[in-house]
Amino acid sequence: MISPAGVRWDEVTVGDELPPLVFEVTRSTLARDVVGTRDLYPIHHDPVFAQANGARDIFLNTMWYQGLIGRYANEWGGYESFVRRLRVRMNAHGCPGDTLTVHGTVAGKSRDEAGRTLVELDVRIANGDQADAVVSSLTLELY
Amino acid sequence: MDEKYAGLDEKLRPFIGDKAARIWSAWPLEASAVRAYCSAVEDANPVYWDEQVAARSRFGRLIAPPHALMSLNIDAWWLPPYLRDEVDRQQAANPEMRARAVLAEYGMRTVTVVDREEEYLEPFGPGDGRMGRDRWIASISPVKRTKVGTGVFMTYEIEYYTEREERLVARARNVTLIYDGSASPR
Repeated sequence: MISPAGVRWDEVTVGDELPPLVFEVTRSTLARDVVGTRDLYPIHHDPVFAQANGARDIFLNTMWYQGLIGRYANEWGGYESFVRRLRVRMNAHGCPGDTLTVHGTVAGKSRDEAGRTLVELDVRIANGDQADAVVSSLTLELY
Repeated sequence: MDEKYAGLDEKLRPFIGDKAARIWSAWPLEASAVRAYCSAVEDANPVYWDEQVAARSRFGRLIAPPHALMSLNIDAWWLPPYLRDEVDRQQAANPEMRARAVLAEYGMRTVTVVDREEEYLEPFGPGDGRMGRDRWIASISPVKRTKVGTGVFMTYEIEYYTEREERLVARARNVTLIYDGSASPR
């Protein structure tokens, strides 16, 4: 759950671990993914199409992971924290039946030319089979 | 890579760096779309949900998660023909779709995002109107064999503007794999 006051920038240390977040993926998760991200590409809702295209089942799209990673960062940084940069790389699929576990580490800390207090986070999502199913790096502005 | 793909590079080259005409999002930025996005990942952040809390926050109003950028710019699922025709015409003319049409001739029709990087310059949200995007192909790799099939990596870059006040609010760099899924090794 998100709190108004997140971590304080001056108390963050490079190497700090964020608390992990667990997300169970069901077929309904995939349905909500389609509604929420508006992505109607069949590989995310049609198992026959997904398997015919080399995937083991329908799988979560990049936009859904962007949402989960943004949520994860803001829950740590507080609701006035703001994602400034987000990179997401997909190494393996997240399919119905998978349990995703999100881990994060503080990789850097800086103040930009506008005086904004920033932290760099490395985030990785395990899908139960592969520890780095999704790998992300992001810049979070703390406030 | 085999002879089947000879000449493909030359056919794709004209589309690289060619900026498409600005494309407008199908719908304006709306609170309902923001909430559907947040619901998908169970994001409870009140600056997306609660008008009063959002108004008192440093943002001063409800905003969209900046990382909802791509979702908020997805094309309409369906449009009546009198609106669809114009969208189809714009799409067919854009360099990316023309490059995709060339790749389709070589059997590469399945698209998947491999790597996506976005930079958010300013908050945006309901009330900002539609979003406009300017996009261009930055590069296309030689044909490669991947675990899902044979294809190319296409990198494109996008700038996003709000309709209201025409603010540049975000930039994105996207790497997609466009491959021949019919020859899947699975």
